[in-house]
Amino acid sequence: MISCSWYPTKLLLLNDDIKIRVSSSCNKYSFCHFSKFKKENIRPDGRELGEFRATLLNVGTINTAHGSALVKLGNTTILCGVKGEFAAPPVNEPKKGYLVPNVELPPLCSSQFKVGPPSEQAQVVSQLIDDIVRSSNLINLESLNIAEGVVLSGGESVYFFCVGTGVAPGFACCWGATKLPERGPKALSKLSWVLHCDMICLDYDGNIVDASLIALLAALKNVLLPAVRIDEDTGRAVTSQEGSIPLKLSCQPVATSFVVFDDTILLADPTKEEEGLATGAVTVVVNEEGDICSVHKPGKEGALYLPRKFMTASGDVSRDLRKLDSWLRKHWRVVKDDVPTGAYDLD
Amino acid sequence: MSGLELLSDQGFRLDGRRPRELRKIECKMGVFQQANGSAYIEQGNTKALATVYGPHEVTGNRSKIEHDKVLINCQYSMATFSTGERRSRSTGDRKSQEMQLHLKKTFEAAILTQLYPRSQIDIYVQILQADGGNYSACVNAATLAIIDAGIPMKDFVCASTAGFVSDTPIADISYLEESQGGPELVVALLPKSDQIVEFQVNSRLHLDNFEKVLDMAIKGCKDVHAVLTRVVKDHVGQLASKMSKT
Amino acid sequence: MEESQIREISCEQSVLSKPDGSSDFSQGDSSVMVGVYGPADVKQNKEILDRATIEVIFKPKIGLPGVREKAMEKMISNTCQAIILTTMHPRSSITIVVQVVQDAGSLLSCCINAVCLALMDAGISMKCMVAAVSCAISEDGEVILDPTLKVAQVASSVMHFAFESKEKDVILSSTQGMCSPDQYLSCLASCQEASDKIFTFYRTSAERRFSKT
Repeated sequence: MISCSWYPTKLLLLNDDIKIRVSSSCNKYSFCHFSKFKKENIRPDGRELGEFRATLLNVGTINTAHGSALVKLGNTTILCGVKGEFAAPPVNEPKKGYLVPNVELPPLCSSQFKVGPPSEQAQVVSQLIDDIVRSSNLINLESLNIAEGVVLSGGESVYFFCVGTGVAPGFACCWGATKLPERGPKALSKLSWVLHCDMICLDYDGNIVDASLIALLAALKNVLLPAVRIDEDTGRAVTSQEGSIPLKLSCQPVATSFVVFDDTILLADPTKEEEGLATGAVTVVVNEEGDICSVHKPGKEGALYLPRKFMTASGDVSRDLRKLDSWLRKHWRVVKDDVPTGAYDLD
Repeated sequence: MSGLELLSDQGFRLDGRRPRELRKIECKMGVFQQANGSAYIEQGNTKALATVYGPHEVTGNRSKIEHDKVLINCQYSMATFSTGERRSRSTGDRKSQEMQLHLKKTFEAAILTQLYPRSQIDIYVQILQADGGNYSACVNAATLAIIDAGIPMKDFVCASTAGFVSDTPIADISYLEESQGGPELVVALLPKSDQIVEFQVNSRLHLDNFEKVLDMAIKGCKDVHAVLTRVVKDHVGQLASKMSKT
Repeated sequence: MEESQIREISCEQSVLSKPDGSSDFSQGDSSVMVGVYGPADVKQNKEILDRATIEVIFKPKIGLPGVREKAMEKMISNTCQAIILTTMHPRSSITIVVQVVQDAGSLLSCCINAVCLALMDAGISMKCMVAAVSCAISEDGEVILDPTLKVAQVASSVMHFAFESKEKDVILSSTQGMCSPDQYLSCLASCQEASDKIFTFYRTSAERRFSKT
């Protein structure tokens, strides 16, 4: 699709955070432009073939959410907010709660997305994140269970009022209400948490899956759910901020995305341009012990060179994964050390 | 909630501000690379960001092409985790559509639309955390984003709110003060010419008090204007110094 | 039935009269019906100037299509893009409609195999054939090919692979659950071997069909 769109070209210096950027809209031109870089074994933004972009993480910025994290993987920016609500647990598994991930790619992150219902790409990435969460048993869903035997008379609202301090001078109050499901008169019901994890992409420059997963993990580590107590007199659930407990994550999966060019070259952490020109893509998700949580290769032109070159490239892949893994361990240690907010530079 | 006193006897509000004081404003321009212009603003606890794409060819409904001016397309979206209670729909509901229309009208008045006929400018605004003054945060962020995109405007568009509590007009009301049910005045202003672009009043306000509250809101806008001008000058200064290094 | 074999495959082509190609494919108890329309007209906003546009519609057995179905559509669509010679039909569309008749395990593989047969029936030019095989790793580390639903639910990991016929390269790989890299590679190897059976099936069914006339 060739469309004539003119953007003001921002010509800036090669500096710490600003790079020369020229926008081109014609695919064929970009491909030749790219091939020149391939010959020198370097990418247009100066990275090596297996190099990841500089990453920035900012945790706990949104006070209305129970947990939040902002990730910048190069220019790709994803903000994840986690909000907990009450819900009835699933019928066939009454001791579990829910974790519902959702990735949004709004038109503000890139001109390729239009206003309207979620695009196909957003749905596919949401589904992939959901599969990764399930496969890796990221969180013990039974820990989200609150109680059994809460008296509901249907359609009631449970109010919880919590006061948070320390954000602005004075206090910042956040209060919420949630409607409990219709149950019929005086039905004894179970109650558990449902964690809605909404990942909004603010700037789309490729490699959404990796960034979303990092944001999700960081936000979940930042979550402080209020403690819930069942009031004996009314049988209602009452929350309070004291005694709030952080979530316990059973493992830390890390995603690494690669794209393939001409069945021969493997590039890690692709930018938007590289994704558009690539002939294939693969995402590998690994946890700390090196177990594979997911290998997602969604077809695409040109059969990927698994397994032949995977054997030889597995050296590269595992090297990158180990690099990423140690990077993430360093970062998780920082987050674990009770620093509620802050910005971290990771390289 | 009725136990909370919005204005104490000593003249302090709930968050410790005086009636004339605005909340702390922090903003940054040029935060995103994909958009032509972008800006992020924090007004107290309200966090908003705006991105601008354009001017570019009209996408979507080609019947809306205007032969003599640019088509402005706005989208207002609130993150699902931005409010105390989780929102199930981030955009597309009545409130968002109303906001979109207000934003569109506001910027149609400020942007020099006749310079780009048959083209389209997209303004996308996202609220990350809502604590009152959503519309004003959006307008201020969008102004900075439009400036960052290099689209010519007649003047800055600065917006602010004002309320009226215990016979005192108060500037820049937060969510708690809004939800008490008192009058809320929202004003968007072109500061140099003192022209009001958008004006909205909710709830009842007696005509006798009207002038005072309106003056308070206009003063709030001018204060915002001072902040925004400084931010723009700093940003341009940084860019200029980087370019002069070559 | 040995655990290391895939289930009984059966297929009927040209079962539907309206689509250009169709197939009714069963793998054990899992059964899928596919209809292919193409190359046909394409909407202007979807047209690509130098190749055909591939659209996949995946209909689950019950309920409305949701996010999970969208993900399946994308995977099937990408697989088809890898094998169909789309440059032969610029500015056209190839629409593939997949209807699940029964899901008794290995649904994704069943769908991809059915789609390949339907494309063959429609006479759309392809670079090569594609065969998909699923496998599961049980809790004691045993590799089970073509798992049924019951086996898949208790397995520690379920994987789907799609291979192309020329050099058995992997086109699609999708995993659920956790496994070690060695287990992944050994499953990959067993599935590659098992795909032979499916390619042989394609060949014999084509021979049988065209030798009648």
